Amino acid sequence: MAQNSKENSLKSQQERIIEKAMRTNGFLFPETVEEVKEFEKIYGTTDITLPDELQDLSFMEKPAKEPVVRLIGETKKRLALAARGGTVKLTDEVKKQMALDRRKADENSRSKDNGTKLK
Amino acid sequence: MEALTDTEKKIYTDSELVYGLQTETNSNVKRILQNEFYRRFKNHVYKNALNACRDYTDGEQLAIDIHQEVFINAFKSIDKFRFPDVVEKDGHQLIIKGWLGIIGNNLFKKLYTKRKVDVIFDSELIENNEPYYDLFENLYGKEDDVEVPNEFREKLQVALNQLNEKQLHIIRVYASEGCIGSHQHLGTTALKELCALYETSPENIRQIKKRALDKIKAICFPPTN
Repeated sequence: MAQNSKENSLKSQQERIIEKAMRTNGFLFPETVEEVKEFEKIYGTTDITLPDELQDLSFMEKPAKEPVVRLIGETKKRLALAARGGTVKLTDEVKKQMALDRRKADENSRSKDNGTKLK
Repeated sequence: MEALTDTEKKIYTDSELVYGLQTETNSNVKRILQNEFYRRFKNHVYKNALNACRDYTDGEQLAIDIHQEVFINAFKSIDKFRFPDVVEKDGHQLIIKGWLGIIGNNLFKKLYTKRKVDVIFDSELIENNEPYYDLFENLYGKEDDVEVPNEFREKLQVALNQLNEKQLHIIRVYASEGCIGSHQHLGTTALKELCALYETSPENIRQIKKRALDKIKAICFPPTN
């Protein structure tokens, strides 16, 4: 029991050292006054050369980049549901049409692979 | 671009500069104050960003993106910034740096995830993901009595180099949430984000974290016998 508690205490001490080292040695941004002081003790406060685009605040005037998005999880399911007009299940007719479209697409891609063109 | 004159720079202390940014209504003057704030803190933020991103793919570009976003977000939320009632000598500057650090760590999580896969998370996740820029009581932090030995940094770097990028990222998220050195669990939002990013379960994320931490310990604290 005492041995277990000693081991746990050692483990916890090691984990605290790892976390503190990550915070004060530049692996994370230092967040507290003490962490900033430690960081500056290690890395100093001398200026470094910044890339051209960071020399001044002109980057604040540039429009934000439009993100390209990939939908995942519930959002994807909800959008698919909305596209079906809120219907949870697909009708047989829609399923048939989807299967037909898929078959056509497969045939198209096979014809292209074989070097023949569909007319 | 207009800037403060040398005399004005001397007049404005860090706390006056923040006060000016919070209260100035003239947009031209506000811009001058923003330029001065940027001049004072840009080196600190970029140095931090470069260090924090060095082990990641395209880390330099990630550092540039984080650096820019730190200042954009800082100016947006500076109205909420408050110094504590008692501040030690030169403390204002350290407090501002700590605050910029909180913003930086939040942005790292956000931008790294966004780069990895361009994802729209569930609205629930986005709403809960507002950064905690106004928790100023955290800036003085709780005193941690553990001492980090001088040579530890190199060992830690060697250990982190052994991890793959997924392990490195997960360990980093746990550390930035204060969940390595305490028994605290990772916040629901952070855990959900990791699960969504790596398309896996919370249990698996915890396993990855445990394995990564074991690897780090094996290098940083090798068995003595």
